[in-house]
Amino acid sequence: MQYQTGRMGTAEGIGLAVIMTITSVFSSSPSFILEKMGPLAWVVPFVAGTLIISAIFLLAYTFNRFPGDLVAITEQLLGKAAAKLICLYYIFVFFSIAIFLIRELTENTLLIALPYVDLNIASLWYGLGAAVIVYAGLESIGRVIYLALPFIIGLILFSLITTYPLWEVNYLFPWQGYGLNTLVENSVGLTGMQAGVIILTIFAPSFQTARTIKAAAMFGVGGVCILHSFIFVVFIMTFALKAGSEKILPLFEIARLVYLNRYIQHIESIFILLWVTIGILSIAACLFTCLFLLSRLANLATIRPLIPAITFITVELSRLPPDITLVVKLASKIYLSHFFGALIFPIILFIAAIIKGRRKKACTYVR
Amino acid sequence: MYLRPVIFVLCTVLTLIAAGCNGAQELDEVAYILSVGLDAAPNNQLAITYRIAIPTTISGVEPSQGSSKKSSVVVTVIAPTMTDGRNLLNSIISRSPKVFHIKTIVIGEELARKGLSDLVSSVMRFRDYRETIILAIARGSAKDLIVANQPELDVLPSRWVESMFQSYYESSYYLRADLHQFYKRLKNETGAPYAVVMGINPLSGKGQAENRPLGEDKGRAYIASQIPRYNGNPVEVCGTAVFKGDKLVGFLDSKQTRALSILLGDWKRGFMSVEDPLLPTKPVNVNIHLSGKPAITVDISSAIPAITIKLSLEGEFTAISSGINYESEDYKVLLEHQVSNTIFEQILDMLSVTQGLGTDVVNFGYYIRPLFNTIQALEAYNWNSKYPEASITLEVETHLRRSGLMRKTMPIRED
Repeated sequence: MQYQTGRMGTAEGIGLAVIMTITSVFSSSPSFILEKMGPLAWVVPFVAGTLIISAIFLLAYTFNRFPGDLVAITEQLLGKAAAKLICLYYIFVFFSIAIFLIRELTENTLLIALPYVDLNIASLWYGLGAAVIVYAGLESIGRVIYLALPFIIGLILFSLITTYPLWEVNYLFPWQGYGLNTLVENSVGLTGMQAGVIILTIFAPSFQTARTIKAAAMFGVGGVCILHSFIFVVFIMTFALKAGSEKILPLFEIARLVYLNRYIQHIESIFILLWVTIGILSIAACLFTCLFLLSRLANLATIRPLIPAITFITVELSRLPPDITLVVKLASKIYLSHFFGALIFPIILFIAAIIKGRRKKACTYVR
Repeated sequence: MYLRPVIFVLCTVLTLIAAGCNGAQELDEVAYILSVGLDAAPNNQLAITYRIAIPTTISGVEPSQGSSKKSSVVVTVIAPTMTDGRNLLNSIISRSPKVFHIKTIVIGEELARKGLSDLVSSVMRFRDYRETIILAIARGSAKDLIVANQPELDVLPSRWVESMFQSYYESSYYLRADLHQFYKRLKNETGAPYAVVMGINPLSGKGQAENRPLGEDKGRAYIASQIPRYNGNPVEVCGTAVFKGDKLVGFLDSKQTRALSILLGDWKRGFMSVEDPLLPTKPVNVNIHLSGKPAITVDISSAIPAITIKLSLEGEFTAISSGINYESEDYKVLLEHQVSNTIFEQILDMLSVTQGLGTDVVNFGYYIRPLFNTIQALEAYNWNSKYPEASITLEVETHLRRSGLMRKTMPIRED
């Protein structure tokens, strides 16, 4: 008997979709995208979000015709070998997201909050925190995020809106930035970064219907894209192109700039609180998905004995790159490769489903 | 069987350990630096002056016998960099020096003229410095200015800085110039950085610059250290330091600074004393504010860019010494014209200074951004090189809408 994940609804789905996409908001990615795109950077989250939501909708269409989760459907449509390969690929996707998240969060914690903590101890705490949450299960993670969502969004919006006196709208121009040709490349990169949202289809049987998955993707990813785009707009209006492209943690820098009066300033601690909460939950969701896929691959009855081992391996691997520059560089390359899992593979499955569906129909007709 | 208790214990320990107290320091272990002054020193060194808070005095604790009631102390070290200066400071004071409560960085004029790129790069990168720090240029030495600063209304110099820059809009004779705007203008495609000017007043009431009043303004224009006065804190804040790249190239006086504030759309309100149009020996006082952001357009279709500025001001009378009935529609027009003309001349004066210096401190280049499709095209246009040649058309319109608490002035009885 295989490990089961429980029952989830739209709320948990939205929570999972948000947690797998919102981490990019807290990372250095807005700064990288701004450097490449210029003032047009705010469009990138919309394009990436549209691609991701389309991929989920294609998979939801497939789920309507073929029962099971992503691996099961791959097995039905493309065969056992392809299913195992895909299983391995998604383990790599979620494993790499967890590894880079642990390292980036650890480095950023040392950079802005706890400069004197040992790197190893900080990454171990992140791993430990995530591991404890993994024990609670994916359903709990989804619910916790959904409950925390109003506070998360509210506090981010508060940080953004309180920089209003510094906004200069014309910095959103020239409207094409460095040219429209860079839009596709950067949107692909961000789509890869948000590949984790495929989690909705990996745990598809746990959701009530394919419509639940579609709603979760629509509201979860759509909401994060709007937020991400708004962060870009505020970031560009506040820092403009050149100064903005230098920043390593854009949202943190925005929060640091808030100065309404002598009593409302130094509010970046809000940002740190949010960022650690979201980061640990995101690592936990990635680890859980890795473990679940491992259990599918090896047909294991439970995942719990594997939690300490996988967490320890993730933490150890996250410590391998010697510096943060290399981490960011490596992460951007690997996230780019996630584009296959985020969009190409869902399209392949969708086409296979259509072809198989037709054959089924043809077969029925003959009978 | 023991899994749940183990997880419970683990969570409890995690909550206690991961509470963020790692590396925490007690208040009596740290020295909070409130302001830093930087001057050029011989052999390519910096004279770094720190004003450090004394927390016990601020908290109201009665000082022990023999100890002073000062709220802060000043230390100056000579070092090649700010980082080394901080290390040296640690050898001088018993507590750990902390810079994250710095309110202002004061740069000596000589150092500012050499360029601030080294300073700005280190300040912007290190997390303890904030972009909300006020950047000030001292007329003369930053060290002398920090030592001379003895605020009388505020307990601490840091509070003095905060109060000064929260009330700047009362006159707009100086601007709230922080590191954020300085760095943004330093790095982005258009606009010139600016900083606030501080100076030490001799408190002699004379020997000040003889600036001629511009337009029909009764008041003269000053830069910090020139205000004619006798008492009070010797340090004053007045005017704007203008930069070309990272180098200080000139100063704007109080009236030019107010003109800059108007074009930046930052002018909240301000009093003006203008000559009475019908009795020039008498002043008329008005309180003016912008009735909207200035409408600025830049036409780049010809070789010489054309800047058009339309300003709309409104305000009220606060004093009419002559007793002439300016409240009536026929006379009011005269006074409105007087105010418009004064602002017009002061703005043109400021623009001619900045065009002469080649520094687009108003950032007119900001208004040309929508005219380009790509950043490459904007950069190729090179606005900063075209600004000194730009033609400027200025329209100022003033509406005096209120007459204060008097609807008309009755003449004084002649005996």
